[in-house]
Formats: sequence, structure tokens, C-alpha cells
Amino acid sequence: MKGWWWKVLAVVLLLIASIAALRVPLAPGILNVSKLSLSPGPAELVITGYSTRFDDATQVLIANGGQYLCASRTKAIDATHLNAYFEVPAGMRDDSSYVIADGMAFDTPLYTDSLGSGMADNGCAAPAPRTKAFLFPNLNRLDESIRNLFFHVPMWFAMIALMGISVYHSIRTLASNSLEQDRKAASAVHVGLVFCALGLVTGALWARSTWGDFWTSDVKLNGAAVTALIYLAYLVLRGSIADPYKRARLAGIYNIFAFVLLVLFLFVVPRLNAVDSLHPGNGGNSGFNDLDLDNRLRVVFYPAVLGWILLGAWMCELRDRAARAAEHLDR
Amino acid sequence: MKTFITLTLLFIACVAHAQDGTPVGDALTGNSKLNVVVAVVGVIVLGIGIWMFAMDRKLSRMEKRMDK
Amino acid sequence: MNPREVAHLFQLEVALDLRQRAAWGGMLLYVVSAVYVAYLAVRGTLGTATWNALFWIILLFAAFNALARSFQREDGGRQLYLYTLAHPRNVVLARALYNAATMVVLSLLSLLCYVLFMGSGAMAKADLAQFVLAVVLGGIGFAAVLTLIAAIAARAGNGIGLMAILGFPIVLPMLLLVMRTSKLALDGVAFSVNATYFGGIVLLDVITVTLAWLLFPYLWRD
Repeated sequence: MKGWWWKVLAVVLLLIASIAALRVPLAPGILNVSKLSLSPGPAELVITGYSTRFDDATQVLIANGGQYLCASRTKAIDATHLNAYFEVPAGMRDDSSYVIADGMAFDTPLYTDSLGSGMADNGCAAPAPRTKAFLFPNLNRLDESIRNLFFHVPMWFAMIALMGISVYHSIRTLASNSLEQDRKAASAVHVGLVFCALGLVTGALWARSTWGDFWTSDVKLNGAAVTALIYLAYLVLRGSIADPYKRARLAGIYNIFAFVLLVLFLFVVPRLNAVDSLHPGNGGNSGFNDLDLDNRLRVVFYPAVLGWILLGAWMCELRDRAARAAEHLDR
Repeated sequence: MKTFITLTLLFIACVAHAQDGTPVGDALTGNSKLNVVVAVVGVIVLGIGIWMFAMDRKLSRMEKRMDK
Repeated sequence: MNPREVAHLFQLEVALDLRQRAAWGGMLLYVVSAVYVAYLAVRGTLGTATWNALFWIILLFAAFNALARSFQREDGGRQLYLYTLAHPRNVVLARALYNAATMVVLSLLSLLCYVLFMGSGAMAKADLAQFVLAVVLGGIGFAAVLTLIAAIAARAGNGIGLMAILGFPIVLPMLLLVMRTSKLALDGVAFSVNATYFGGIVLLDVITVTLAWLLFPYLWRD
């Protein structure tokens, strides 16, 4: 078991994180409301939910300017469709009304006619807040694909970690002039590039479904492209030098130099430029911290990241051992 | 190689079987963006599989040289 | 680090380079032809953003061309002689300084040539002092990043081809930053707005030169 524990940990973490990532249900939400506007008089709304459990007793309200209007009657069609009937009074306070079903609000307001000083009878009581279960947030446009957070993003974490491992070995190469350290650095870059390719392909798929295009001009995407170019150049540099000691030194120097500039490019320049990004946490997009359910994502996300990093380190070790055996055969 | 083909066929059978209104079936036919998740997970598994094959071939070549 | 040795090595660089007038002529001809090709290809007025981008692309290629030879003239004997006399860190510092000086001259000449051919319509609203400062700092930045890359490429025994492959992805942070700064200067924003970017460029320069200073001795160890 000696020296094995982290490999076991990698498998266990990946297993737990992947199961959780695929099995934890999404929080229910409202997908659609059949009307775009409200005017005084009777109104019938058809509410379409996602992973909801509607029934005839489901409470439906309309929130308007701090007041609430209860449905006069609700009738469930099935678990995700609901008919709600309202008697809309004249003189609502605000020109946008929000539909709330079973404690969940629909994010697009209904345009409201005939404004006044508010409902005369003060409406009904505020809805009870939903009890929070362990569910992933249900975000517009992401829907179930929020689960990709646990697969696509860890690829980049693993890649950066592997490149970091590679730089560590490059520094040791320069310090000791040892070919063994250089071989380890090269192995880490090889495996890092595998993760880079996986990150790019999975990112393209996710971008196609969320933003409508396989490639967008985004800081993060440019960063990914530059990373790929730098490490491909690193491999070209290695390939163009025959003398192993010279190769070890030159590749090590390039690796350290490139990594520092890459870190600056990925983490400092975007902040300085304050450029907009489609990715969460940049330029006005809400990140992890702003989601009210953030902790539920974190609990699964960090184990997934650690698991993928450890798997990457393991792959790196295997590659390095194979390279070492090959060197031995060549001798 | 035989094991690989068997496993692939088994997987295809599972997928084909799953397409009748079950959640997994929905996932593969494209409701609620679960298909992207399936595609992403598929790409990752495939990518690591390809890496394993490359590694396998490298080791086989080395074994051949060792036997010589 | 020994400032006097650095100054001495810098003088040596200048003296050596003044003997190679043809190299300077080649560099200038490169810029002029690049600008003229751009002029023939565009044939019309450009928007500010495109004008700016085209200038930086031309300057980037000129920088690669000019700096690629900075370690190339070292043949084995001369190099050995130089490095028994001076500390490699002083050598790289002198070389970086000299390259920076070269790039300042080259970028100002490129700008002159570019304005001559492509017109100065894009500079109508510009804060000229800021723009020239951005051009000078950008030239120095290219020199800072590419000095070490040129040394690596020269040591690998592979000329400008390898330098382009190694250099392009690495020079990108500098290029993007400097393009943004000069675009803002062309739009005529106040210096206080642009100061962060100028600071960023200077910081990037300092970091790259420090790295080159740290890593260079390993490059010449045989």
C-alpha cells in the first residue's frame, strides 16, 4: 500500500464526485408561463415547471410591488404543468408582476396594465420560503448542463497542476543537471496537453449548447489556445535538439519562462484589462459566490478537481515510468 | 481486443435499450441539455481511453524489443 | 550584477553593431517593405482599431526579425572568450538593454514610416505623447521578452523559425496589453485612465528581464 494511497484516493474521489455530479437532482424551477401581460379581469395561466411536483393544492401567487395576489383556483395537469386562475384587480402598483408557484419565482415579469396605488384588500400573505434540500441550482440556459462544471472545469485545473509539476521538475533539472528530472518535466507536459485537449473539446461542446458557438472570442478561450501553443512549442523545442543535456537545459529554461508569463496572461492581464468574459465570475457574470446554492456546487466540485489532478499525476507517473524503461532499453 | 468489442457492444445495447422515456433515454435524445453532459463525459472517457491505448502500444513495442 | 561591466558590455554591443551597417539596413528595409505591402493591400482609410492592430502586427514581425540575430553572430570562439571575461548575467542584461534601445529606434522609425504610408487619420483625436510612450514601451517589452527566446533559439542551433514558434505565444500577453494601451491613447483618454496599463507593461517588462537574468547562466553552461 505504500505510495499507493493517493492513487486510491484519486479513484475514490472521482467515483464519489462523478456519482454526485450525475445523480444529485436539479432544483425545480419554472420554465414558462403562458401569458406575457396581465390586465384587470379574470386571467388563466398555464405554468410549465421543470422537475416540479405540482398538484391541485400547489400555492400560486402573483407578486406585485410588495403585495401578493393568490390564485382563486389551481388545477394540476401533471407534475410539471399547472393551470392557475386569477381575478386580477385594477390599480396594481407596479408594471411588472412575478408569478410564484410552489415558492419558486419565474424570472421574466408579466407586463401589467392599469396601475394605481395597490390592491384594495392588500392581497394575501407572502409565500412560505421553500425548504432547501441538497440540489444543484437550476439556471436559465444552463439547465442540466450545469453538471458539466464537474467535468469540464477540472480538466483545466488538472492541466495547470500538471504544468506546475512540470515547472517544478524543470527547476530541479536546472539545479541538478539531471536527465531524470527533465524526463519527468516532459512527461507532465505530455499528460497536461491531453487534459488541455479534453478541456478544449468539452468546452467547445458546452459552449455550443450555451452560447450557440463552438468557439467564442473570450479571454478564457484565448488563454487556453495560448497554453496549447506554448506547450506544443515546448515539444517542438525538445524535438529540435539532439544532445540530451543541452535539450534538458534549454527545455527547462523555456518551460520556466513560459509558465511565469502564462500565469500572468491567464490570471493577471484579464484582471488588468477588466475585459468581459462569458465565463462566470468575469465582467458582470455571476460566479460561484453569487449563487445562493454555491455550497452545494462546491461540495462536489472540489473533490472532483482534486480527483482529476491526482489522476493526472498518476497518468504522468505511468508515462514517466514507461519513458524510463524505454531509455533503459536504448542503452 | 475481444473484451473491448464486447464492452462496446454492451454499451451500445444499453444505450439503445435506454431510449424509451427513462431519464437516461431523455438524456440521449436531447431534452433539457442533459445531452451535453453525456457528450462531455463521453469525450473525457474516450480521450482517456485513447491515451490508455497509446500507452498500451508503447509498452507492447517495448516488450517486443525486450524479447529480442 | 556589476553596473560598470554591464555598461562596458553595452558599449561593446554598440561598437560591434555599428560595424554591421548592413544589418541595420536590412531591418529598415524589412519594415518599409512590410508597411508598403500593407499599404498596397489596404488601399483606403482604416478605422482606428484596425489601424492600431495593423501597426502592432508589423512591429511584432519587425521585432522578431531584428532580435533573431541578436545571439546569432556569436560563433563558438567569440562566445567562449566573452564568457570567460564577463558574468553571463551581465551579458544578458547588456544584451537586453541593447535590444531595448534597438527596438525603441526601430519602433519609432516604423511608426514614422507607417504614418507616412497609411495616413494619420486615425491619430486625429489621439493623445500623441501617450501614444508614442505606448509605442516605445511596447518596443522595449518585445525586446525584453524576445531576448531570452532569441538566446534559446540560437543555442538550439535553429534560426528564426524556431524563434517564431517559441516566441509568438509568449509575447501575446505583452502584445494584447500594449495594443489596448495604444488604442486608448489613440482614443485620447486621460492619462489617469491609461496609467494602469502603462504600469502593467512596465511590470511585465521588469518580470521578464528578471527571469531572463535568473535563467540565462544556465543557458551557457556546457
